[in-house]
Formats: sequence, structure tokens, C-alpha cells
Amino acid sequence: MDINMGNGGIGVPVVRRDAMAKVLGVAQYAADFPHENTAYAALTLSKVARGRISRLDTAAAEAVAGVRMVLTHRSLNESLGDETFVMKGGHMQSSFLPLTSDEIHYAGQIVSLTIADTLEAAEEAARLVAIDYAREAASASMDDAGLTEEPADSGIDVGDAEAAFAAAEVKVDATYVTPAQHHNPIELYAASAAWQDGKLLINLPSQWVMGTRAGLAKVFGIPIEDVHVESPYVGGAFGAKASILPHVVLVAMAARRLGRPVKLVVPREAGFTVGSFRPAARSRVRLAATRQGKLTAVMHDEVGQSAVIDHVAFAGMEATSKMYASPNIRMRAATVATDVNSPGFMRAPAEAPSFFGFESAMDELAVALGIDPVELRIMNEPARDPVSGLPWSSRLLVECYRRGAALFGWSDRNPKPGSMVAADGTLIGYGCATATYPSAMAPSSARVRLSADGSCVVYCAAHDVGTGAYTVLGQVAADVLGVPDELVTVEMGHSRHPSGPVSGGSITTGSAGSAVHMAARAVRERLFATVAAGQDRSKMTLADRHVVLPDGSRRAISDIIGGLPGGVIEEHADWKPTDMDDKTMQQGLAGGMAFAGPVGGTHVSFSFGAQFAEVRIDPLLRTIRVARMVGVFACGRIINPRTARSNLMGGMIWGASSALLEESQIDRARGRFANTDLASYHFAANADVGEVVVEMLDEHDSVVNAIGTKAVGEVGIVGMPAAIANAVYHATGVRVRKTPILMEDLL
Amino acid sequence: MSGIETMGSEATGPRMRVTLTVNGADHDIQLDPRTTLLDALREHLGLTGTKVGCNHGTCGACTVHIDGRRQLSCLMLAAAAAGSAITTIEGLAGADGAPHPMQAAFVAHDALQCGYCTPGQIMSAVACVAEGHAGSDDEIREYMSGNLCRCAAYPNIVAAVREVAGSTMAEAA
Repeated sequence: MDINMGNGGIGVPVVRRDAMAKVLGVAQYAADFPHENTAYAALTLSKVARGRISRLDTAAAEAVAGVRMVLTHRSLNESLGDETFVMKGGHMQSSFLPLTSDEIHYAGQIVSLTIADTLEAAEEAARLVAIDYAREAASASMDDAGLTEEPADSGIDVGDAEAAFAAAEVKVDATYVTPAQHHNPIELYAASAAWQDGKLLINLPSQWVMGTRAGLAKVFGIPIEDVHVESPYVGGAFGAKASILPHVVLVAMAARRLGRPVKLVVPREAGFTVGSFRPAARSRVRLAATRQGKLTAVMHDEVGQSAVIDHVAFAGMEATSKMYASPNIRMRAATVATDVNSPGFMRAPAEAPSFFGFESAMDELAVALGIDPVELRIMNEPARDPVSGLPWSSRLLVECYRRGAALFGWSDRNPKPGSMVAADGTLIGYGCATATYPSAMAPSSARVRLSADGSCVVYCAAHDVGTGAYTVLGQVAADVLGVPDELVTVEMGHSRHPSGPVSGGSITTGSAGSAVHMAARAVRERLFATVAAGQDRSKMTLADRHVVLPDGSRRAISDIIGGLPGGVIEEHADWKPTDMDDKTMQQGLAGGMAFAGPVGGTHVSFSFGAQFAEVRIDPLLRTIRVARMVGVFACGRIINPRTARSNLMGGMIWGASSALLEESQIDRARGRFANTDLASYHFAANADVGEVVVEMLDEHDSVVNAIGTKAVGEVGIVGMPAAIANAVYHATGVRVRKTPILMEDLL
Repeated sequence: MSGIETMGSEATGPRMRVTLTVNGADHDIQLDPRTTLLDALREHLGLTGTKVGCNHGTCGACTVHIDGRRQLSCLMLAAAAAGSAITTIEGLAGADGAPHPMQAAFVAHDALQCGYCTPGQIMSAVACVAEGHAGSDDEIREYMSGNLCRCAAYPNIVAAVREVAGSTMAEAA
């Protein structure tokens, strides 16, 4: 394996900066921080999905030795105040805060928080909180009778798609279903809260320390500076930790009342309802084409599961509408409200479910036309965004397909379903699908310090949720300042640092990276100005810890900086995307949600990928194995091919896991999630994964941002479920229009 | 309320004394008899390298070694581990502080992303090689499947285990 420990620049596969701390077990995650005299909390959850609490008796719980407090709706007497749901401009995972009324809105809702001296006593007592419910009928499934669809937006219309579809020579009209899913990061939700002199210190796993700080300050009515959010390491997030979960507020309230630190680790089963989830969705896709394979109409109607307490839609048609050239496009999104906890962001929230249907339909169209599925996509490649008419900042999808097909051995594919059979009778199927993800960005600040010893420190309240941000942000600074990697330190994941964006929407490298780039350039400018005032700075360079002057003479950085007050050069930068106004930027830097893109004033920016799968299916048992996956991606400039590759690989395995394993099953009679543990919510284990090949094309995007990077973190998952479903069809001739695809679907 | 007298007092329910031998050192602690080995390590001894992921024995994040064998510490009471040699991720490095070859291999192969399952993966991986269950990639995949990695670093984990197993076999030959 190619390892480079020396050069810290852009494009170098530098070893993950945080890897050694993680393998030694010294990296501190939220529940690892010790607080003197900590009390432990345990949850009691609602057993019913809808209704009211009719009787509540905490006497037995309070009688347990060591119990200090049992918080219920009777004793809390607090509220979120003006703070609200993250998708309504706030920071909370839901607009409803448990324990603020006797109402039950979903099964698994927190109905009490018990605090004790020991974890064991808290857990015992939490089980003794006695509650009766006045239960009402509930629907946790969008398929329940009597539920109505509500339009979620005004839709997208180009031309007259209905008329073009009606008149078309070849068409596909099919509906695809994806289930609710849960993120299930291995690190459980957790929170430790400690108050001192009216100030709150909270340790929690967070993808958004600045938003969490702003939200908690609002809830508790204290200055934003009095809230400190610490989250240096996050044990997997995938969108689950991007908002403030209700238990965080409750734990902080309990700690303030007790005058003592309180710690809660949310049990795995509670995580299914204390946090958010990916809602179920149903996509009807209609495609029409000429006999030669030119698309004439693209229509996508998606209905998504929503919650009664928070209407929210995650339809992915902003992306599917831009995939292929068609003169007629019609997209509609709707939601069905159900009695569940508020749905939220889960890795490629809109794109992953939408592309399963959309890219399966493209495969069905290829079959109907008798055209190779790779060629069908290439012949419908749009020169510009077919919706806005704007050019792409970069789009190498065709090149991804050409390279992916070669790597995969696509030319060996016999298009006839069931025609490829191994010597032992195993059915072999090849499938492909397109992946894409918007390259949005958010404003970010950063501070970069260069010291006389040549070392460099980057400060930014961004987060490394396993993506490589610690490594990548350091490389951006090192590249500007010519600093070797071992002299770079990156400090992130704390609200005391310069403002960083939410680590969601695959925006960290483009956003925080651009801020680091700006701050590092300011450091370099000051260095140049200090060494030789009046000289032409554009002709100066940095090399080997020296400034090289226009005349070729060299000055050691240590000499230049050593002579300055404090012995360092330190610069702060506030960066914003090109099309963003200053007011929105300031809102974002203050911990608000402020996104720009993917459709800007002059360009449209997406990452793209071509994904291929080989499945092997037992001819009798119909067990399905993904033997090989190939993904070729164009994500702009890759700062670190080593961490980017791992991120894309993980996304592809997520896609395979989604295709074949993952479903949050719903007990419709009781209106609740039924498989709320890792023994029954299956996701990919080591033995489920075959060969995974990832390549990143050398793509230059001079428009998207100053460092030319596009989205990496989520694109890997997007095309994989459809590629696998299309491979299953190729192996068996059976078209499965739902995930997970199970052996019984192939009988 | 009957329990109110005890609230605010130092009474904290049943307690027992246990001596745990962790990474070669004896620790004499008082704890609730229901305390799991996992919680004893994390909450009583401050050894937070061992992670909690499910408390059900389904994810492997809490894997430690008991007398050299891998064990899910969430499924074992601390009292049951008394008298055994317990090794955690903090005890894997050499006396000179140098990382164990498996720790170094995980770094070299980028066999981690968020890093949360990593201590458990490494404890399992060391045992997997010692058990002789790292003879092929398929065998490694099978015997490492008790440790879930949601970031899905699996192919890189297999590569790390393969490298250490290969050098171990080379030494034995």
C-alpha cells in the first residue's frame, strides 16, 4: 500500500491523522469524558404509539436506593421555547420535546428520565416507573388504510411530460418501494452535561457543534458563549447526529436541577425512536423513449413517509430530474403523515431511495429497448442541466461509465437474463446504475497558525465523523504553506473553535476546506509581507520551510516568524460560497442552517459516479451474494485519495447493505418499529462483503470552490441498490421493485 | 414517597468488592453486583478504550481478552471476571509503548473510519490470528463477522488481519 507520511500536500494519500489515537483506544468519544461525581440516567419509553398517559406512579422508582430524580411530564415544567425542528429553521431533531405534555405521539417516546448514583440503580428504577395509557389507534406504516397523501412541493415541470409519455413508442411505468431504515452508528447516542457558574458543558457525538451550541443556548435562555459543545470524535453519524436529540436537552435540564453532572448512554433499542430515521418511500417512475433510445419523457412521483408531529419530505427529484437529457420532465413529491418519531437525514437522504427506483426504471427501459444499459445512459447524457439550462461546473459521468465498464469487464455480459451461469450452477448477474450527489456548500470560518518551528495548527469547529476531515483539512493548509504532514495539527469538534458547518450533505471538505485555504493563504501573505516589504509577492514561493524571493534568495521561515511578537503568524478567515449574501453567511456562522447550491447563479454542481455489481445467486435456495462491486467517481479534486477511497467504499457497502439487508420492520398492529436491535436490524457484516473496487477520476472543477472539491461522503451509496437490483434481474429474469431484495422475492 | 429518605443520602444500593486484573495490574473496586465487565472497565477503572455499542452481544465493540480468549465484556458480569487476566485495547501495546503489530496494520491499511468499533475489531483480530482462523480472506471475513463496522471498512480490516497473519505464519515457519 502506498503510504506517504512526509509530504502533506493536496492529492497525497496521507495516513489518517487520527488513526493512531483510534487504534490505541485513547481517542475520546462523548461517553468517554470523565466528570467528577457523575450521576447516571436511564430512559423509560412509551409502550403505545398514540394517546395519553392516564396514570403515572414514580414511587417504586424513587424508592430504589441511589435514585436522585425521576423526571416526567409532571415534574419537568420546561419547554423548547422558541427553539424548534431543524427543518423549520431550528436545531432540534423534532419540534416535539418529550416530557412537555402527557401526549404520546409515537411508540418509544421518552416518558421519563431517571437519575441515580449508579447506572445499575438508574436502570432498575427506570423499569419501575409505572404508567398506564389511554391508547388511541395509530398508524406507523404509510401503507395503513385511511391515510392521505399531501403534496410536499410544487414540483418540477419542463415541457409537457404527460403528453409526451402518452405519445411515446417505448415506455416504462413502474413503482418501487423502499422501507424505513435506521442509521445505527456503532457509537450509541450519548450525552454528558455539566453546569458550572451558569455555563453548560456538554459532551455528545455531534455533526454540528455550532448548531448544537446555538440551539441549547436558546432552549436554556443563556448567552451562546456560555454553552460549550465538545465532540472531538464521533463514532459514526450518517446524519443521525446532525441535530439536537431530545434526550440531550433533558439530560442538561436534569444536570442543572441536580447541580451535578449527568450522563446518559441511550440504549440501542431506544436509539430507534429517540433519534431519527430514513422514512419509507414509494417512487412511481415513468420513462418514455424513441425506439432509438432517446428519452422523450421523464416522470417521477415520490411519496414519502412523514410524521404527524413534523411534516418533512426527502424526495430526491432535484437529482433525478437532472440525470438525463429529456425535453419533457415532470416531478412530484408528496408525503403521508404517520405516528412515528420525526424522520431525519440518513446518508443520501433524498437520493438513495429515489435512485433505487429511478435507476431500476432506466434498466427496465434498456430491456424494453434492447439497448445496453450503459449505452442507454451515455446516449442520454445532457450537455447542460435539463431543468435550469445552466452548465455543469463539471460532469464526467460518461467517462465514469467508460472506465467503470472496462474495470468491471462489462463487455463480457450476455444481456439475456439467466444466461450467465457458473460451472456449479450459480446464476451470475451484472448490473449498473448511476450515482450522483449535490455539491452544496455552507459558510465556514477557520484559523491557521504557523509557528517558528515550522509547525502549523488548523482550528475549525467542523467534525471528522470518520470521513477523514482531520487529515484533509490539514493537507489543505500544508499545501499552501509547504509544511510537512508531521508538523500539522488539526483541532476540530469543539464550539470554542472558529465556526464550522454542519457535517451533513457532504459539504465539509468544500466548505471548511475553503475556509482553511483562505486562512492559510492569509498566513502566507503575511509571511511574504514580513520578509520583504515592497517586493512583488506574486513572484515569491514557499519551499522546504523557506521563503524563496523573486531574486532566488531564500529566507528561513523560522528566522522570519521567530522575530515576530509571539513567535507565530495566525490568521482567521470567514469564507462563504460565491452566490451567498453576507446576511445568510452570518446566520450560518452563528450556528444557523445556511446552504448554497447545488444550483448556483451560473453553474450546477454535482458529483457523479458509475456503479457496477456482480451478484451470484444460488439456483435453488435463491440466496444472493454481491461478489463484486466497482465504482468510478468524479468528485472534483481529491485532497486525499486514501480517505476518499475508504469513504466511497463504505458508501458502496452501505448501498449493498440497503439493497439486500436493511429494513426497519413495522409492527402495524402496535404501530411501532419491531426489530429495534442489531440482532434483528441487519446491516452488512464482514462476511457479507466481497470485492470492492473504487476509482476516482482526475477531475478539475475551477468553478465549484477555490479548492475544486465536490461531494464525496454520500455519492457512494446512491447507485448501488439499483445496480444490485438490476444485476439480480440479469441473473434471474425476476424484477424486484423493492428493497431489501430477499431470497423469497426470487422464488 | 417511600424512597425519598434515601435520595440525597450516600446509600447507593447493593455493593460488593471485586479485584480485577486488567492489563497486568490488580484493581480493587467496590461495585454494584449487577455491574457488567464493560461498565466496570469504563465507569470504574476509566479504561474507556473498550466501547459500548449495543449491550446485547451483537456488535462486538466491547470485545476484550479474558485469559487470552476474546470475550464480549457487555455480556459478562465484572464479578465473573475476577481471578482472570483481562486484556483491553489499552494493554495491547508493547512495554515500550510501541503499538501492537495489529494496531500498526490497522493504521497502514486504513482499516478504520470513525474508529469507534476499532478497539473491538483489533481485540478480535489479534485473537482471530492466535486462534488460527486467519488462513484465508474468506476465513478472516467469517471469524471477524462478530464485529460490526457501520462505516464498512471491512475490506481494509481483512487486509490488515491478512498482513499480520502472514507475518505471524512467516515467523512460525
